Amino acid sequence: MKSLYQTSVNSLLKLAAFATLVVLGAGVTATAQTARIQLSSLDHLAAKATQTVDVDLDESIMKLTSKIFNKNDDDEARVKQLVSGLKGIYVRVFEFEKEGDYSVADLESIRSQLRGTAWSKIVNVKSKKEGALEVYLMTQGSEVLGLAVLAAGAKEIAVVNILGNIDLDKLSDLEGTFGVPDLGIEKKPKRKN
Amino acid sequence: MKKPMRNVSDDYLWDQSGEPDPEIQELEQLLGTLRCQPRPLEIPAALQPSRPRFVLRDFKPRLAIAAAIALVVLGAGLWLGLARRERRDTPELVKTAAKPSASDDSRQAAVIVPEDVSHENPNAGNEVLKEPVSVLVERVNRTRRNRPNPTTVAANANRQREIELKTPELAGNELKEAQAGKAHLMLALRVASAKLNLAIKKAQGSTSGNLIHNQHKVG
Repeated sequence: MKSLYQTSVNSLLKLAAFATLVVLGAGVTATAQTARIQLSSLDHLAAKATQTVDVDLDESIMKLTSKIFNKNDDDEARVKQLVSGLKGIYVRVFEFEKEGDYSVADLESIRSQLRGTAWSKIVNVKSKKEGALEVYLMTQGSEVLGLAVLAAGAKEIAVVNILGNIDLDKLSDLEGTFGVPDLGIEKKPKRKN
Repeated sequence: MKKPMRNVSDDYLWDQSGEPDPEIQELEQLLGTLRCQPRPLEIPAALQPSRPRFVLRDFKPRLAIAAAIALVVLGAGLWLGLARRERRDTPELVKTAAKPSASDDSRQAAVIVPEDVSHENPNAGNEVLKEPVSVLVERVNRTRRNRPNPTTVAANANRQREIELKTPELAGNELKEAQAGKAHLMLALRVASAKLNLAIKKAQGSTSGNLIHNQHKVG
């Protein structure tokens, strides 16, 4: 009887240890695959900036928020569908009064996280006049795991980090449609009649 | 005439381990016939009670199994019913963009503008953004403030109240948190969309195809 009890206890302990290993392994794998980039290195720029946009939305808030979208409204339904596969959105925009208020090192602290095999740079625009615009995508097979946009102008630095399967078509269509006003960042040229 | 006393050990009397005494053995044989003989209790037939005629006793195990199954089915039914009810009561909030209460406040909270900084054309000469973020945010706020008419606001407020009553899980702070999250989400999506569009347009000009249509080819 005693041996049976001991055997059962040993089996349970082994099972618990195995489950712990599996959970830890899954956690390590998930951490390795995460598309989250650390933006805290830019926090010190808030003191110099004339305007700051700071948005941190994790998965729990995204889920909570998605509950209040109205599915009967086409626009909100589209937004809800767009964000349904997302696990987080993190945005930092710093706008400065004069040039040189941020340094290359600030940009480099973000770029260094986007180097490596996990991220692919799909857009890279650089010019002395217009600054840098870089779009990175983290993919696994055909699935998008994350998006990162780094925009650095003369007096502005902006970083957007989206976690999860984002549809870039739908995201790019967002501006100027369904209640989201066109921000006029890039004005369309007028057609000559 | 007295028999001579023998020195006999008491061990045999105690646990039959010592040297046996013939007298003791003789007494054992004589009295052994009177020792207790274990046998089952035999109750005379006349004294036996009549067997109760409990019909269900034979079906006890089956009844227990049936009761267990019924309990499981009942529990599953209750669970499914509650789940369906929760699904039916999932909040479908009306378009609350018109309400300048929590949404706008939270959006304002997300945009930090130092008061001691001049806003007079702070981004002049910036070619990446045609307008500064402050102007853009102000434009967003103005657009959203000017959109609704009072009737729409009142209708939305009524529907909002109904939703709050129908969704107790989102009542109070959670609902406010969700609305604030929605405002932040829309702001984040606007910025992301604008930057993405700008990047695509800068990369490709306004000539050929759309890069984002090739997103699935990456990797």
